[in-house]
Amino acid sequence: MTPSPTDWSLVKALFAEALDQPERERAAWLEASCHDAAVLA
Amino acid sequence: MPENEALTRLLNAAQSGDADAARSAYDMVYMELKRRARNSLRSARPDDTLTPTALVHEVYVRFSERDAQPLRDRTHFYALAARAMRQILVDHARRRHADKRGGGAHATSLDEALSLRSNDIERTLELDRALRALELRDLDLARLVEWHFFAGLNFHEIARETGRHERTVRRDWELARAFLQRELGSAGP
Repeated sequence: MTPSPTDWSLVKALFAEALDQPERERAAWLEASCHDAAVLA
Repeated sequence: MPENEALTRLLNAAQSGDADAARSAYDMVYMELKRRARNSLRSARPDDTLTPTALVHEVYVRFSERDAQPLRDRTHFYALAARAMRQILVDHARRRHADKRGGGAHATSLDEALSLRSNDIERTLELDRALRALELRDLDLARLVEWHFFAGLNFHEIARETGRHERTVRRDWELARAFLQRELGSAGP
């Protein structure tokens, strides 16, 4: 599924924030931040 | 008119929305890159390899140093040069790919100058396809890849040219790379 432009902005923002997390906490952080599964679909 | 002045003038006109000037500026940079590739072949020692980034840099210096007036619009120049270099490499890879399938027409001198190994041919074509997908999704990220990969600008230079923080550029690069890796399957650029 191709994200809409709005979703893409969200993906970009989440990606940037995820990079700021310590590497080993990143997966858990993403999990917690992505309640809306459609964003990552 | 000296060439760098001509290019500066074309770049300025292109900035003001003159499509013909934009095309002419692109053609000028494209032709110069090709010419350099051929010349490098003639003078190259056997162990020399021609790198696209070195070519782009040479062309920049050539347009910059000749005359009194420096090339002012450096950012625009790099944008054109990166696109032209990508086009040259992709055209080259397509020809080589066709040659391989068709039993081999004679390679041109440019093909030899840019002598890519056969896995590089596939890789260049795949990267071009992935980059076109990225262009549809996010033009800024695609441009960043073009600048870094085809014009050889490092993140510091890209940040300076685009007036952004280097940290932001690096983050964008990571995202672009993740996108391209997904498009390419597993192997990334």
